[in-house]
Amino acid sequence: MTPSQALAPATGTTRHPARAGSLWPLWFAAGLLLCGAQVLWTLQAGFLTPVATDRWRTALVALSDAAAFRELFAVTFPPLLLSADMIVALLPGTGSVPVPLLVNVLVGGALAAAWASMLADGGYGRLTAGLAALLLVAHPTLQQAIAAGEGVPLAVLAMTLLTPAALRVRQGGEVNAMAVMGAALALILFSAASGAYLVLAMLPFLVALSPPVLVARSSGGVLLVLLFPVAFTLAGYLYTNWIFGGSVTAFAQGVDSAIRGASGNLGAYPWLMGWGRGAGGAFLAGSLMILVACPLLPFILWRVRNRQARLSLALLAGSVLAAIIIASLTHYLDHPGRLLPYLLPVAIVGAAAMRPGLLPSPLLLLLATLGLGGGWLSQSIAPSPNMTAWHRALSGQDVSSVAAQEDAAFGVLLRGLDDVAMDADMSGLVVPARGGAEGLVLTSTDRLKADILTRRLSTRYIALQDPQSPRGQRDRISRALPDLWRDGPPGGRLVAMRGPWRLWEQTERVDASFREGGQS
Amino acid sequence: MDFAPPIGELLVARDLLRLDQLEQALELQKKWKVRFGDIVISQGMVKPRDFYRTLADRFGLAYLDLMENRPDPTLAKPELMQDYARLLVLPWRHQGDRVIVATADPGPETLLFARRQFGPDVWMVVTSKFDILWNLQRTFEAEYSHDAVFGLADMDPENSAKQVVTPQQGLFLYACLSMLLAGLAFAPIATLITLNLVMAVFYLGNFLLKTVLVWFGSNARVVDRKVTDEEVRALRDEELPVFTVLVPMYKEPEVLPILAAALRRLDYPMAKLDIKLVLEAGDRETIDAAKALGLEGSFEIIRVPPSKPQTKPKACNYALHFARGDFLVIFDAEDQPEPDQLKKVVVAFEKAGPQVACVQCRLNYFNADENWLTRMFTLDYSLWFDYMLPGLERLRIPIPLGGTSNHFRMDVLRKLRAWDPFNVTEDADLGVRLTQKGYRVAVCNSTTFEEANVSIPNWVRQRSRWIKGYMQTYLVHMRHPVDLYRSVGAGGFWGFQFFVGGTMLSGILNPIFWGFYLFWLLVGGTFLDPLFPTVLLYLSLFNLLAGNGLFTYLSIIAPVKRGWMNLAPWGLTVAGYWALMSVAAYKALWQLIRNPFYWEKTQHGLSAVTKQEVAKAMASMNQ
Repeated sequence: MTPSQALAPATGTTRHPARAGSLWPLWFAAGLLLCGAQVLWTLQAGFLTPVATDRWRTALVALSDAAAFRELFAVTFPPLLLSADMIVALLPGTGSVPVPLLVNVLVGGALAAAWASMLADGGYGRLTAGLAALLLVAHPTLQQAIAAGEGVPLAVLAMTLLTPAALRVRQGGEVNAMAVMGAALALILFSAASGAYLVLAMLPFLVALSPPVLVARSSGGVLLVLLFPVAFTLAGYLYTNWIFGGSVTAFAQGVDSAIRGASGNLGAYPWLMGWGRGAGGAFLAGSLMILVACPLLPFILWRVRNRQARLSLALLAGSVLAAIIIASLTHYLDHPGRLLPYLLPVAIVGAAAMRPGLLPSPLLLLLATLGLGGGWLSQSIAPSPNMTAWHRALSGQDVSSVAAQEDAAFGVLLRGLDDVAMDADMSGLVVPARGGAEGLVLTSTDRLKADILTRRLSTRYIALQDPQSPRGQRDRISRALPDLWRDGPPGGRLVAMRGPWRLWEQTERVDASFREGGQS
Repeated sequence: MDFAPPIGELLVARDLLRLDQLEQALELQKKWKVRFGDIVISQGMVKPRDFYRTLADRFGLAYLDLMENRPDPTLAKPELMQDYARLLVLPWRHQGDRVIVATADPGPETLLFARRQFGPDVWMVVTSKFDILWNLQRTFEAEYSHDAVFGLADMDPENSAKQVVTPQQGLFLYACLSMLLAGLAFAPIATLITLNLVMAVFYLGNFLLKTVLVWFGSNARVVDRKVTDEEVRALRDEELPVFTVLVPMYKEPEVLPILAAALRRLDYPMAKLDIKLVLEAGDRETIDAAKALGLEGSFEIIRVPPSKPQTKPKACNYALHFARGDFLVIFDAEDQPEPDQLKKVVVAFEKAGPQVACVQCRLNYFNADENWLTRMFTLDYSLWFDYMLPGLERLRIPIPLGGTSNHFRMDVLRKLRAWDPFNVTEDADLGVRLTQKGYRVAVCNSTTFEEANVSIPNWVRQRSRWIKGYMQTYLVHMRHPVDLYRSVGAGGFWGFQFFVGGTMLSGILNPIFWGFYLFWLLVGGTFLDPLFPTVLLYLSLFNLLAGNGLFTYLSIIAPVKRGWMNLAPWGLTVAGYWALMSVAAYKALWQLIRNPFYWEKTQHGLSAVTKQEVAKAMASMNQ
């Protein structure tokens, strides 16, 4: 169901625009090329965020060991990203490719194809539809999210499902549209932490997005239909957290957990120290950024004739603004640019609903192009360190961090070594640089857990970090055996040192034959 | 040349018909293109006996009351009983060398038939069609009865549930049980893991299929606007076929007025309706109630002689001998079909093509808001008829027909020997059999409203019969799985496994898994860990969370199509309804073993809303 069909009269008459569906592979490929080129370029400049590193490492660790998978899958947030990363990591030839970036590039291609099809179904020519879709995919806020390895692109894809469904829900209360909307809300929630804030912000708008006839009969019933998928999957997720993580909020307990965003280090984010500190500032700056970054949207809201569509689109845009305010006040949001990509599907659906009669092709392309500049401009207001680094990387400057280089070098050293004890959760880029977690004895295994309890490790190698370093303070091996990094195991031999990392080899090993099954 | 005055004028001349009635009847005759007699009788303008008496005079023949002057039973030939019913003719008695033949339709075809069968000197007398039908039933009671019970079993024994489990199936079950016991004895953990895996895959398949079905079924443009009002309005009355309406009833006189009123409300030429109230001969109270309603000539009462099994399909098979329609539909006594249903079905048949032998309309309830059970039952039916059956149609999976409002092409129904009297969900079985024989079942966006069960014991009785019938249907059609696979294709085969097999099996299995889960929640510990290797653990966890969540959600969205949003929150309590289903499933399993053909009667008329509906129906009939 396309937005233009969503706006077709309820009598069942449908329009038959020139289909561009057959060209979707072309736009998918173009989207892939665009996103892939951007990611490769910034990657060459050393732009690899901790978020991307964490996702990459988590996927590799989860794939290597059943116990790790069990723990990670239950407590990783957002879980859909992990699933997507693991599926892509299983594909042959992805061994040395940053999996999260690959996933995001694929999603970028999918967005280009989906948006081009939507515009074409709305009556735009194939070329216009494809170009406009590519211009929107090229939006700096979306491209930055793709390069940063965030879950936002996947959540935007879910938003692409939600937006036309929301229009259909408002128009006629079609049951499959309501179900799609409910499912899309759940997908957004579990695709990106920012998506969770967006879903939260949408809650008050849902009644207004619903068909008045049904709301008049039972608003509780309507809300239940729309929210049950979110509520149930959330309950299921909390339940698995409890089963495997020991607490229903295990996913949010780490100070650097995704759902907490920037709250762990407020001082590093100009947005939170400035505009985003209060609701008024967040509202004003957020509104301005929306207008600047997505000029299509105000035009659409001004010109669209269908009142129901205008209301739905305005509410969806309003919910993004509300999410900016909520996420700022809860100190999650490092910059509104993280939430601005959610406006792009709203603009696409709005443009498709208006059709070329009200939004001629040249104007569509012009506004989309203006959005590129606006997006860049919005990122320049109180930018987060990541945004600054991405801008620098785009301009060809080296932005790689020393810590990442040290992790990568240490990971390369570990290649070919098996039976290595390590706390992978705190290992940064080590596991990806090593090429995988096979052969590592992780803290999720019964073997290493037992070793730590008895304070005597049975593996041949021990990789651990300086307990005085920020990450080393949370390295479970270093914490359990504080002298091990400095002194090594009894009779042990220091094999390598790199930054905070040391690799010890045990020459006198504890007989591990009675502890089978721990090694990956 | 025929110089006799038209029958209408004769009736007016005898003060049996008013002039305005004559004009009205002639107008309708022009519009409907049916015989004048059918109009005046179906509209209740003239009493049948007066009409046929006048008809006899019109043809210069004698009139005979067969109820007072019974025919000689030795004259009628059993091999011709279908022709007698079709032509409304019956040999009465000998007079000398001549045979006197009674008929309600003294036309050339009847005369030709009579001369061919009884010689050129045959004499004709006129009688009422009701007398013919009544005497046919008396004369051929044994033959009709035998055919109703054993027609399918004699002609197509492989498709009859007369034999519950075939020897091959028994052997297969025995082998499975032996393997299971041997496995438990020699490799208990591996056996239990295998069993667990099979069950997990079954649950996964079940819930994936139902998700897909609901997805397809929720497409309003395809499903809910399949037949539009414009298409119905475009129909011309004279082109409409004759529709037989069967209403099998047993001891439910109290709800009869509902159906009578609903049938009178049907937007269909009354003269093209052949309505048959199918009653058990011993059910005096319903027979008397039907007579007391003073129904028009379109309504006929068929008395089904007592025989075993005493089931609805047997009664319908019996009544089928006297059906004269091109199409046939079954309604229950308390049914309220939407007025345009028959016309919508005609359009649906036209659009569907010759392969479609049956059109199933939706069922739902008029007393949805009466109590928790009726609400849940309404959600259940909404999901089943509004979503799943359209999904089955779309995916070309055999559709197990619902109890009523299934409309058949008469020729196909007769060819397949209609319903299996040994199957207690004969409708579900027939739906699958039709698909197996190369026909298709379509669904139609018209609803018949019924009375939802208001009492749990009554509901359990009804549901246990349905599940038992599903078990019978599954066993019958899985006698030759390869043939089934060939006839319905891969999609149809697996759809049948999960939809029919899954529906009955999930009720049996659910309590076992719930029990394990609750026990683990209460006791904790790792004693179940060996049965859940990692992959299986995640599959089971997925089934537990996604499966239960999805089925609950399906119950929540079930009433949305009808806009009954107030029922949506009740979907959250569906787990209680599943528990009831499991009770019914175990009862069904027990009955399948102990008493497979026993028909658990559902008592109607218990609802307060039904009583109001009866009162309304009576009031409308008295107007």
